[in-house]
Amino acid sequence: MSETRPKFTNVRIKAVSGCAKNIAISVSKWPRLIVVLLTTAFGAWLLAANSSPRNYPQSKKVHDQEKIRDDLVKYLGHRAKGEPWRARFIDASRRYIKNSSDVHLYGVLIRDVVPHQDDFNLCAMQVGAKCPEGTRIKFPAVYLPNGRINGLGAELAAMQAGENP
Amino acid sequence: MSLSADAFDALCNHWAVSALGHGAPDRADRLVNERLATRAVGKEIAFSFQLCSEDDLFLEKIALSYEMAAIEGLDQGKRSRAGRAERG
Repeated sequence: MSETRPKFTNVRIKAVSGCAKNIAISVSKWPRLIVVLLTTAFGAWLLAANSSPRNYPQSKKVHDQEKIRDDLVKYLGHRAKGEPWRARFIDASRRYIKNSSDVHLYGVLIRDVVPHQDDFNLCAMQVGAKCPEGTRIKFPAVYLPNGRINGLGAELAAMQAGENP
Repeated sequence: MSLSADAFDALCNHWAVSALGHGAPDRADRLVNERLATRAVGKEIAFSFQLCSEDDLFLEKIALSYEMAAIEGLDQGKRSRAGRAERG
C-alpha cells in the first residue's frame, strides 16, 4: 500500500501541568478544530480527547486496544456523512478493515514547563516495544510558556465561539 | 418492514463489507455456524473444524464492516420513514 493514501490517525491530546485538570477537560472541546486542522494538514483524522490528565499513556491504550480504535472509526463514520473528506475516510476505512494495524498514532503532549526528554521516554518505550507492522507512532509536544495552560481552555472556547481571545 | 433482494445486494456490495474480499461473508457464515454447532452439541460430538488463530479478529472485522454499512444507512432509514409519513 502506498503511504500517500489516507490512513487513520489517532490523535491524543494531553495537557499536563500542576493545574492540568481543568485544561484537560477543556481540551475535549477541540474536536472540530483538530479535525479541520488534520484534514487540511495530513489528510487523516481522528480525535480522542481525553479527560484524565494523570493517566498519560492513553496513546498506549488506543494502540493496544482494538475495540477502542474500532469505536473511534465508527464515531468517524457518523461524522463523515456529507463531509468533503468522506472519500478519504472510506479509503482509510478500507485499509483499516483489512489491517487494523494500518494506522498512524499521534499523541500530542501539551505542557507549560521547561521541555525535558523524560516527558516522552517512558511512553515511547512502552508503546514502541509493541508497535505492530504497519503502525507509525508520533508524539509531538507543544510546550507553552510557563503557567500558560491555566485558562487556555476558556481561551480556545472563546475562539471557537468566534470571540477575540 | 420488508427488505428487498436489491437491498441485500447493496449491503453485500457496500465498500466496508467488500473491503474484506468477496469470500468474507461466506467465511464468517461458516465460522459462526461452526461455533453455534460446537456450543450446542460440542460435548456430545467431536467436531474437527479447521480453526485459525485469526478467526476471532476476522469476525470482529466483518462485524465492524457491517456496522459501518449500518451507520451509513441510518440516515437512509430516517428518510424512508419521513417520506412514508409525508405520503401517509
